[in-house]
Amino acid sequence: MAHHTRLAATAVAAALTASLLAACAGSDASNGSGEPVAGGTLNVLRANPFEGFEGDKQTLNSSYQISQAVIEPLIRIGEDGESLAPGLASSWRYTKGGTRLAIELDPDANFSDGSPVTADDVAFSIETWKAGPNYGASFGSIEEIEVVDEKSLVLHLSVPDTALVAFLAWGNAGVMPEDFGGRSAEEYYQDPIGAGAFTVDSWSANGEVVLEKNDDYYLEDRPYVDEVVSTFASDPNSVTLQLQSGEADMADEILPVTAATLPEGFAFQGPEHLTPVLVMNTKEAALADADVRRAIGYAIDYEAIADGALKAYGSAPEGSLPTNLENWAPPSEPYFSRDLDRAEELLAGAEAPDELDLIYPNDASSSVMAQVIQENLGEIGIEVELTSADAGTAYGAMSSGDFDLVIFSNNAITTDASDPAWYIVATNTMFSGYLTDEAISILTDYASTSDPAAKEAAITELQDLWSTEAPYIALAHTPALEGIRDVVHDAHVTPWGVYYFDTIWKSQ
Amino acid sequence: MSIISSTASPLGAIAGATEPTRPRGRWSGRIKLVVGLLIVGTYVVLALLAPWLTSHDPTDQDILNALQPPSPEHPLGTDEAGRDELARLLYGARIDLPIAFLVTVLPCLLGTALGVVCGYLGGWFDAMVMRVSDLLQAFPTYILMIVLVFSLGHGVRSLLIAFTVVGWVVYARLVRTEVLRIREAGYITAAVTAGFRTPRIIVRHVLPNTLRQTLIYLTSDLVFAVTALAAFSFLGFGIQQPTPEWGAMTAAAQPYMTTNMSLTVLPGLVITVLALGFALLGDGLQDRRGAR
Repeated sequence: MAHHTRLAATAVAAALTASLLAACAGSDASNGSGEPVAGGTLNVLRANPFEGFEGDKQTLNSSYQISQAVIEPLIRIGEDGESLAPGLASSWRYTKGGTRLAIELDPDANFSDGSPVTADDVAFSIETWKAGPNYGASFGSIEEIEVVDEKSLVLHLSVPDTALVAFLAWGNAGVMPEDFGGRSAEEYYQDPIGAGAFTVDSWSANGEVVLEKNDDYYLEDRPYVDEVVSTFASDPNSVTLQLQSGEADMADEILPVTAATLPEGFAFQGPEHLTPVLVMNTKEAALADADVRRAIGYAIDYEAIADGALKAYGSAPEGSLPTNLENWAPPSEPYFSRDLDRAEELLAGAEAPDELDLIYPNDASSSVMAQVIQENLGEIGIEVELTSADAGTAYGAMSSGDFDLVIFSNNAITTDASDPAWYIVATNTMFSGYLTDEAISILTDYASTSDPAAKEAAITELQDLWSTEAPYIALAHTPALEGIRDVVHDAHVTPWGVYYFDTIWKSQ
Repeated sequence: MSIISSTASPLGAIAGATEPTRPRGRWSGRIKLVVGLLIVGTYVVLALLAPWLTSHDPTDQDILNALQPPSPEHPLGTDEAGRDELARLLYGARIDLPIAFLVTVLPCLLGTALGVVCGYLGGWFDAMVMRVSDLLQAFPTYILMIVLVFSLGHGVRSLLIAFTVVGWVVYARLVRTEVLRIREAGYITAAVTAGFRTPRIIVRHVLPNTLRQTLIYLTSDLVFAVTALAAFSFLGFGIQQPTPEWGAMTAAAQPYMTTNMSLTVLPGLVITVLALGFALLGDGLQDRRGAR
């Protein structure tokens, strides 16, 4: 689930990535219309390193995106970015009150070596996902896997789990050949074979990832491009210049500052979804009191963050959870907004800290956000010292609990509102140390019902819990921003900024 | 053409050693010295007068007016947080100059003290200090400093420690070499023969004679200090935002290079000119010493 999270530097960047084109409104980043043309190389700039093909170790959108192109998941995200669509699983349905999930595989689904994708391969893959220390718990409701025949299987669930199908669409839950095709896990992840639209030509974490077209791909006529070259480029100036010169066709997770410099028509803006957050370490004495944390929430100038730090590519937060997801619902009371009187009132009855350290990812948007927060907290008598850090250092500080405040980010990697919520729970409430028992109970209720109203009520309950206790504060909701040249067509970018390479074609 | 003008020939060089090069060295040294002093002096004056030269607080944000072009209100525009760029550049001198001075003077004092004692007394203390200096010199300077600052955490205190730990070595070696020469001088022998105590000989007779060379090197070392400080802040190891420090300002403005180039160029230029000022000062002193 790290997918939801990635470091603010990136996440925020991505999140912040907003761009301008009304013509590109919605989740369809197509340029014009026409019949797809096959051929060509798609040159993509990614904002982060590639973490390799082992799904359980992936935490960044760039990793999910590349991984799913090679090791495709069972279910796809629809072109609208909001629904689930058939993929390797041509159909699925819940039975027995949501405790059985029957899955039929596409009869044409083959791995790139030509061998068919079978139910045994899927069973092996699910067991592998379940065993993962990071994301395994998300598949914890799967008690037994019943292989019915070569192309169908039934998952026996310990409790009704209607959210499971959304998790089966995660980019890092790819279907692998049984027993890694007779190789060791290490050998497999170094040179994987999957049922995705592309095969791996070469890859390096901080350099190029070169993918070649899979001629055995099960979706007719796909992929359109012969080759995808993904290059790590984090410098906004470099991204702008490469897009403008045509050296790159697309740039993922661009910053607002980059989007603002691109010529008209070069930037795609999705719906607001990505959610930069201020995480507070509840294990630190200075932040153990919920009143202090809420006071911080009321001191922050969210409009300044949205309009200044995010260059108006985003808006003030409506709740703790990322928006524009199925079953999303706001908290029952309005979310935090700037109210200095209320902040001072809360602090008056609490032991307020004099000084706090704030770690922020070293990207342009996070830097400005950190400075806004520093000034805002200064107004209620809390001095903030800023420390910029690369993604790895910031993540390390969070996971080891060695921080006061951190700017981080949260987003889904699939369509369901419980997806980012589960990530929050899995990370001990975004590494804040706040207890998760109540949240887990709410999420369990959420998964066990198929009634949309009940699901929304559960999400509201969750939002209320995290607003009241404030282990972290959402700072904004921002759209995914993508730099796209006009030769690129049919890039269906999801609200969280990930898309499939196989739908894309280039004008010749 | 006279022999004197033919400085490329050995004969010319010999001739130059006696007469012609003296005035040229003196004059070029004097020009460098004057220009260097003018540059550094200007920075000092601007730093002192900063509150009177701008009405803006260099840390005051006006986030909705970020990245504004130059205007009468903001002659050099505003930065990414809407702060006045001119104010930040001016107040930056109040940060960078004192810190550059401190991170140069502290290793100078430590190195000079160790160098004098090592050179005059010799023995096991000299051997030990020289081996430690060998060890420190075996590491690339920047790498060692980055490791130290990274371990100690960012901020002025860490920078002072890192510069001192790494920087004393050159001063110690320089002064030690001078002292080894001086201690053989007749006036030192005379002082010893007269029964003066060792501390008095060191303080009154040895140390003063090493100061000129140390001062010249210190001036050159300021060039390194100014650029290294900027580099550390640029890399995120030094002084953090929103403090108006030139290196940090350059780093913060980097994402806006294609749209607001002046935010990167101006602090860079300010650093370069100051470094040039110190370099000319050091060269001028060196030339004048050579001329003598």
